[in-house]
Parts: sequence; structure tokens; C-alpha cells
Amino acid sequence: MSEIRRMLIFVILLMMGFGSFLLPSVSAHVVSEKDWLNDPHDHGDAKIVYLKAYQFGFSIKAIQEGSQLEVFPEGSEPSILKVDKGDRVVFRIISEDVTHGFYIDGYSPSPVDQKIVIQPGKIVEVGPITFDRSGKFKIRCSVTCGPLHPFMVGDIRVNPNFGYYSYAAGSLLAGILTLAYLRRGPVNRMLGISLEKEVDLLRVRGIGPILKRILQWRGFHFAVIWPGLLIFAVVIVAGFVGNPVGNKNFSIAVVWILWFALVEFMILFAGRSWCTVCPLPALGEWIARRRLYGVHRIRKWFTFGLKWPGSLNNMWLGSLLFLTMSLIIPWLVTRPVVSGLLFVILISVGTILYITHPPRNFCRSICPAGAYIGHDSNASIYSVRSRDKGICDLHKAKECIRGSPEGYGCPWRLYPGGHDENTYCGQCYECLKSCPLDNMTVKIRMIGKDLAHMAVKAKNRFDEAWMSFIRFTLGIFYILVFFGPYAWIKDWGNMGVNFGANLASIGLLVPGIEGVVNWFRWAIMVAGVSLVVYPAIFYAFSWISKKVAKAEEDTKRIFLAFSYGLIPYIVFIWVAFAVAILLVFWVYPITAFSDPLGWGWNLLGFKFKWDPIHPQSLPYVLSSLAILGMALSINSTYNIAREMFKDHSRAYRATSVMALLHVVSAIVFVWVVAG
Amino acid sequence: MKGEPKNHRELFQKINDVLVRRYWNRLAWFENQPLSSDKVCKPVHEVFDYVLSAIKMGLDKRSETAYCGSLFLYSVLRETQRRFTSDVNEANELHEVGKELALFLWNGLEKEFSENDQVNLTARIEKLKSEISDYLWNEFSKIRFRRLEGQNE
Ligand code: SF4
Ligand SMILES: [Cu+2]
Repeated sequence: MSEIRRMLIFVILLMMGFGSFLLPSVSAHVVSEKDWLNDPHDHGDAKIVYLKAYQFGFSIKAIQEGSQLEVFPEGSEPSILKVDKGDRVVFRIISEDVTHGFYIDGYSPSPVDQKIVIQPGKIVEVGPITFDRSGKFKIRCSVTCGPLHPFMVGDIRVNPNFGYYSYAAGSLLAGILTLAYLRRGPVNRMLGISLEKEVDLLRVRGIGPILKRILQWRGFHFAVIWPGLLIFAVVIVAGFVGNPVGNKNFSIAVVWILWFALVEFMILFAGRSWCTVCPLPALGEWIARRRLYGVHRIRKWFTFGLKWPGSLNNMWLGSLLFLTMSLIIPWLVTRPVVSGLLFVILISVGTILYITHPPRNFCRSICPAGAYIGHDSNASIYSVRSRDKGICDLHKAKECIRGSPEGYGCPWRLYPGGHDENTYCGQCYECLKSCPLDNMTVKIRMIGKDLAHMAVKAKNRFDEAWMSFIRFTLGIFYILVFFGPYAWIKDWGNMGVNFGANLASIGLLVPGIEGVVNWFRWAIMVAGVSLVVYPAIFYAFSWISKKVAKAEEDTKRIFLAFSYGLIPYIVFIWVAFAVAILLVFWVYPITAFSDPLGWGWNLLGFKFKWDPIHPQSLPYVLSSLAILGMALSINSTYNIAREMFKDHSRAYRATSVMALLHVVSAIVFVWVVAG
Repeated sequence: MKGEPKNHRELFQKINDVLVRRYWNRLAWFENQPLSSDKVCKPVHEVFDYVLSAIKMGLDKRSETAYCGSLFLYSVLRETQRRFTSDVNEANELHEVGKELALFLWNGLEKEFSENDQVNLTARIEKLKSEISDYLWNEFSKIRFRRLEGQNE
């Protein structure tokens, strides 16, 4: 316990180690002259950057140093501004289409204190700003200007970018240190912490008994689901009739900012807890049981009781649906109506399937969120497990499977007493209620405890391996796409459509031919990287590992097994993504509760203006998280190899090869966020 | 079930045996208010009621008779003011007996039910129920009497 606590404190300190400071306002005013590229003012030694703001990005038309004017030709205007530390820069900004805003991480004061607005037809002059701190800073739009407004960014790189170099070197160093640590052959440990140590959370003095009472209380599940159901009802209504602009709409702000980000933290700290509260299959469950929370007196189900086909009994459907959602993610996370439709579909399918094919087959095999949450949860510190497997072995009736008068049998079709992975445990806590021996509990353990034996068991789990690849590559890719300066990628994914939409304006979403063609390019790129390119690289590294380790196992087996080693990495990369989303967009979900439809209401008496929290530290916070994930991943790979080869030296050699891939990935990540 | 009088006796015996060890022993033998037959036979009655309803609803025999084992166990737990047991043998024994009882009832009753003779079914159940209750109550009283005597000596 104390080790886990120490680690948590470490992570929190890491994230808070960057104190904030108040920034003075910058000079910004509209200048009247018509000719944009011909600045009559004398700015001394300052560079003049002629900047275009457009839906959805910033690009540099020209840079003027003294009397030298460098104009970039149409179509190849950069969206990354490179300056040297100490440079003074004046921005002359125009908007090409609608009203935008202008904000620089770490150099602009809070947009609440000073909001710089760029109206079409006017030239706004900002600065001079002295770039006295090196690093990477984002230019962000601070005025809601359309569906992809939240992702309208450009980059400023203040050279020499020591932050980037040191984090890239840090990735390498962390990789080397992890390998040095593994050289000693630590058995069943993760970065020094024993994987055998577990804390029985329900026996912890003080909170344990309280928690136990809550989890064993029959009303618990219902009590946590119905608020979620209410929220999803609002999501659907807002999606259909609310403000067509995403970040003003409850459906987008709550689902794709708040939920999306919180789920990542939940995965790390509380496993599949989302599935505990998830309302999607709840209606079906209530109807099938004919109960909101009680247990059947006579066990008559309201279902067709059909059997779920064995060929679907894996996460292929879920992971491919997750990928499909990722292909339309620029729409999904910016168009309320698309989210509204998605949830109507998910709730309907979840309900119907529960009644035709009970119990939770929808959650097990179809729900895209369920698939990745379950998969990633294997790197969680949280688990629902039996206290003493020996008792379960002796116990003949196994009420955790069949149900008892106090609880249903596991709706996820598991044997809770015996299971040792989180993938399909939806944390409904029925087994805590149904076990007559009080043998089920919640255990807190170090990240990655189950990965080794899962990996070694997985002889043909291509579904889970590909889930890893999809999650891993998309985690990095999303950060590049959404928070990167490359507006063209966003445009491809967005099919070039510049409108938001609710149900009334859904027609606006019809893309042109060119938009569709571009979208296909984007789709091929996303699917190609995650389904083919990265897996191929991973396979190649697995093959080299095999050779280097002189292992007898075939490459396929090693490849599949090592894919489980990625899971801690995935979790930390997505936590990083979640941190970025929350720190930059925290305002939207909070405000959405006060104004769910985006019609200007103020139901709860508060409204916040967009005000990112210390965004200039994001590159380093995110990089630190990824590096931590990388170290865990390398260690995990070693544990897997050790369990598979039953031999330290082979395991170590194989791990070193995979470590190279993981370090390179970390450097790519660091480049994406800080380079 | 008429064809299996031996099993019939044996089962009653077994139920009696388990109840003595796992249930009645936990009841206050010398409680001031005399224990009723209903309390003493509670787990058995619950299984009876469940099997009857389950057959009427056409539920699955295998899973429901197994469930009756849990019902039996939980009935004992409840009647002895417990939510859980920590003794896996106790859980196994009670479950087994409850399940066997349910299976015995189910096998005997399902035929009558399929012949669609509701009146006969209910009547038979009542008869069986009072038969086994009488038997168990009798046994219970004997043991209690013996214990009371033992106490007086
Ligand atoms: S019911 Fe309890 S003791 Fe029995 S197998 Fe399940 S978890 Fe183990
Ligand atoms: Cu904008």
C-alpha cells in the first residue's frame, strides 16, 4: 500500500511541478491600414509575422525581418512558427473567414482578462512579444468559430527547444534505467514494487467496512446508474435540438470532454468502474430481470434467452467499432447530432440484445467503449477478485456463477471466484452479493499484475493484440491530429465541412465529393497505421526478439504475448491525452451543466469563460506520463517474457529488443507534444 | 416417487441429519417460547414453494433445482441471523441437501403437472409437505426432549 501511495504522490508531483505565474497583458489593437503585407509601422528589431486565421488553423503568410520580407507561396504556408529565444515578434493577424481569437500558451494572459478577437476584414496587431522562454507553445483560437474550433491550433517553437531535447533524452535514459533494473532479474515485480502484494480494499480499516456495505447493498447498482441515465437522456436531447456548435452543447462537452477524459483516469485507478455506472445496457437489464435492483423471487427472466454465437465471443466487433468511431471522430466529437444518434443506437442495441441474448453480451462483445475500457483495465490498480481461491476450489455450488437469493449470477458470464483478469469483469459487484462465503472483494495491486499470465495464456487472442495496437497508435495519433498544427489532417477527417449540426440542420453535414475523397485518405491513414503499419513493426521487433533470445516459441506467440506489454503504455498515453483535454477544455463541461442546450441559459447560476490551465506545461506533463508508461511497459514485457521463457537471460534479451521499440515510440510521442 | 421409497426415506434422513448439525444446533434449543414447526422446517418449506412455482412457470429443471440448494442454504443463514458463512463445508452440505430435495420433488411432481392436473398437484404437494414437516418436527422434538433430559440429570 505504501508503495502504491508513494507512486501516486510521485505522479501528482510530476504533474504539479510546474508552478503557474501571472502573465502581463500584451498590446493588441486593430490597425486601420488596408494593405496587410505592407506594415508601415516601425517595430524596431522585432520580427513581423503575418498570420492568417481560418477554419480551422493558423498559417504564416509571411515573415518580415528588418526590410527582408519572406512570403510563403499559397498552399505551403507553414503552421509552425520557429523563433529563437529572445526574439521579439509582432503578429499582424487577419481572418480569412469568420471571427477567430488569438491566444498563445504561456505568453498570452488569461483569455478572461484579455481576449484578442480577429474579425474578418480587420488587421489586428499583437505585440511585440518577447519570446524569452524556450520550448513549444501553442497558438489557440479563443473565440468559438465552428465545429472544430477547440482544435484550431498552431505551433510556436522557441529554439533552442531544450525541453524537447531533454525529454527525448529522458525517454532514452528511462529505457536504459529500466533495462538496468531488469538486468538483476526482478521476479514478479514492477519498477521495484512487488506484484504479489495486494490490498484487500474491503478490509482496510475505516473505509473498508463502509465500502463493503455499499457494494453489497442491493440498491447500489441502481443508485449509481440512474443519474447516468438522466445525463444520457440530456445528451440525446441536446444532441438533437441543442446548439449545433459542439463545444456549446452538453452532448459534446459532457461526453467527449468530461466522460472521455474521466474514463481514462477511471481505467487507471478504478478499472472498469465506468461499466458499473453505465446506463447503456441498464434498461435491458431491468426489463430482463423485471427488477430495478431486487433479486427474482422466482427466477423467471423476461428474455428470449438465445445463445450468443461463439464466433462473436471476443473483442473483434468492439475493437473494430472503436476504430470505426475513430474514423469519424472529427464528426463525432464536434457534431452534437452525430453523438445523439450514436447514443440512441447504442442504447437501443444494448437494450434489445439484453432481451434477446442475455445477459451482458452487448457489453462483452459489441460496445466499443466496453472493448477498450475492458482491455486497458488490465493495467489498472483495481480488481474484483476472490479473497481466497482455495475456498472457491472447495466450494461446489459457486453462487457467483449461478446466482443466489442475494445476488444474480455473474451477468458477464465469468466465474468470478476464479478469474484473474479484468477484461470482461464489468464490476457490477453481483458476486460480492451472491457469494455466501463472503469470499469476493476488491483488491488494489500494482499496475500490470495480471498481464504476464494473460499474455502467456493468449495463444490465439489476435483480437486483444489488435485492440492494443489500435489503442496505442490512436492515442498518439489523436494528440497529433487534434492538438497538432496540421490543419489539413483535421480537414481530411472533417470532410471539409465547416458547420456544426443538430437534427434540424443535419443536412449541412452532407460533404462534397472532394470531402469524401479526403475522408477516405484519412480513413486509410488511420486504419493503415493502426491495423497494419504499427502491428507490422511490432511483429518485426518480436521476430528480432525471438532471434536475439534464441527462443523456441514461434514468433506469432511471442508477438501476441508481447502485445499485452503495451497495455500500461496505452493507459498512460491516454491519461496524458485526458490531462490535455481537461486542462484546456475544463470550462465546457462545467458550463454545459448550466446551459445544456447551448441556448444561453444559466440554470445553475454559473458560467465560465474559456481559460486553459497552465497549458504551457502540457508538453512536459504529457511527456512525463508517456515515459512512465513506457517504463512500465518495458517491465511488463520482461515479466511476460520471463513467464513465457522461464529463463532470465532470454527474457532479458527479448525485452531489450522490445524496449528499443518502446523508447522510439516514446520519442515520437515527445516529438508530437514537445518537439 | 412411490417407486423409490428407499430414496425417500434416505433423503428425509439426510435432510434431518444436516438440519441437526447445521441449523437446529444453532437455534436456541431451550428458548422460552417454544419453536414452531414452521421455524424448524423453514428451509424445507422454502424449497417446496419454490419448486412448485418453478414447475408451474415451466422453468429449467437443472438450473432451478441447483438454485434451490442456494435457497436452502440462504434460508438457514437467514433463520440464524447471518448474511454469510465462513465455513465452506457448511455451504456445500446445505446446498447439496437443498438441491437433492428439490430434485426429488421436481421428479415426482413434474409428471403430474404435465398431465395437467393442477388440483392433484397442489394436493400432493400439501400432503408431501405435511409428511416431511411432521417427520422433521418429530425428530426435532425427540432430540430436544433428549437434550432437556440430559440437562435435568
Ligand atoms: S461463490 Fe464465492 S466462494 Fe464460491 S466460487 Fe464464487 S466467489 Fe468463490
Ligand atoms: Cu477559430
